[in-house]
Amino acid sequence: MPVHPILVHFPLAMLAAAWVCLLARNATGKEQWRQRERLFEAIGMWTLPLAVLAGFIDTRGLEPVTSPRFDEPLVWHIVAATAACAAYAARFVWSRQPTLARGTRRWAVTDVMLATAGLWLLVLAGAIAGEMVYGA
Amino acid sequence: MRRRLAVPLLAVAVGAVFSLPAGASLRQIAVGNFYFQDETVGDGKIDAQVGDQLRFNVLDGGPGTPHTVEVDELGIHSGSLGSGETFTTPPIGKAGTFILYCKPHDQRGHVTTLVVSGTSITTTTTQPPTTTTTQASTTTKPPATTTTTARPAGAVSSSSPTTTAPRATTTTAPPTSTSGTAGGSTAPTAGGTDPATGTSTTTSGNDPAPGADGTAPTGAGETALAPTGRGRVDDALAGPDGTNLDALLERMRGRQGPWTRSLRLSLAALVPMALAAALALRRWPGPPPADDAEA
Repeated sequence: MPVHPILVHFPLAMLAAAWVCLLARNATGKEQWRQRERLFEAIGMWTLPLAVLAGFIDTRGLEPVTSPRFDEPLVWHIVAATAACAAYAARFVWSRQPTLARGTRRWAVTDVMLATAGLWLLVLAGAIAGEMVYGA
Repeated sequence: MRRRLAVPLLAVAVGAVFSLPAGASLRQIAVGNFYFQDETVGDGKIDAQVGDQLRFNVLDGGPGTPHTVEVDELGIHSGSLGSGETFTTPPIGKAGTFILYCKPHDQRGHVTTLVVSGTSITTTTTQPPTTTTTQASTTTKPPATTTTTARPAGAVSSSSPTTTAPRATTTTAPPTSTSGTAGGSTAPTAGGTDPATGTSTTTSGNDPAPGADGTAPTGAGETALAPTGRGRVDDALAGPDGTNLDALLERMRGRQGPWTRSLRLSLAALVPMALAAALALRRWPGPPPADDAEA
């Protein structure tokens, strides 16, 4: 039984909710949005590796990566999901730099751009997966 | 300290065109509002080999606008097909280029070309002692590819979009000799013989009698890879076997594979996302309280 479809909606939902909270925080400046964003982001970042791991188990290991065929949607699903993970990891590392000048507009723009890029890549990965499963 | 973080860019690969295995296959053709499309190729033109079967899966079409599948030269007439219905032809036994059209909508451009390559098959049957000879009637390369193959009854597969099997032309009658050329193999056949009467039936797969509304053309069932005639599209739309990596990998490949539309949909989704982000940043009230020092 595939496990990846069971797990993958947790990071998707949590990271999407975190993105919404991030926008709300930037729009309103209210502290409670930041707390919610951090909570959703933490759940999403913890469940994302589980979903990735389950995906590789479901596809019987690393064969699609070690022997990629670039006309296959599965390969592009993996590429998009990996890029999404990279975007979120970059945001995670970037936002925790001790030398980061927080509170500037550039900081806010970069934060939102990284989160938006990560979420959009997740949307892309999900759309490709949807075509694989439901497409005709 | 300024840092720029590059946003990853995605490149979209154009799929390669894969050669299909030799032998008869069951080809899945999507039928929608004014199109016919090979689901594994998707270039609009329908290519097939002699002996192939075509399964037309009607994906679009309201109750008031049913489609039909018509190939006059091959005697293929499906009758009205609503959304969710399929029509599976008998094996095609005639090479050539044919007009494939939808009768209610051909004036609106619901027409395409069916190109059948290979060697046409003709079959003749004589009375007992009967010898059925199968021979090539036209010449193409490789010459004379007609195959006479014994296949157990029930060895029919219908689920795979590219099911392959030896192209078969059957026929027998007791006492029977069956001739054909396929790498020197000749075998008596079970298919095509009525066990009750011992009479012979001949299936050539070509020029099937025009089917009545939705019925399979006469004599097409014996060598078919899949049941002919009408059916439901549900099977064709079923998802891949989640435990089968090959099924996942082989699905929807092609130059215009349907999965590529996910990129367009995602780009469309990016627009409201970017607008929402821009709107939020536009309303940015200024530096938040000193709560970001959680590093």
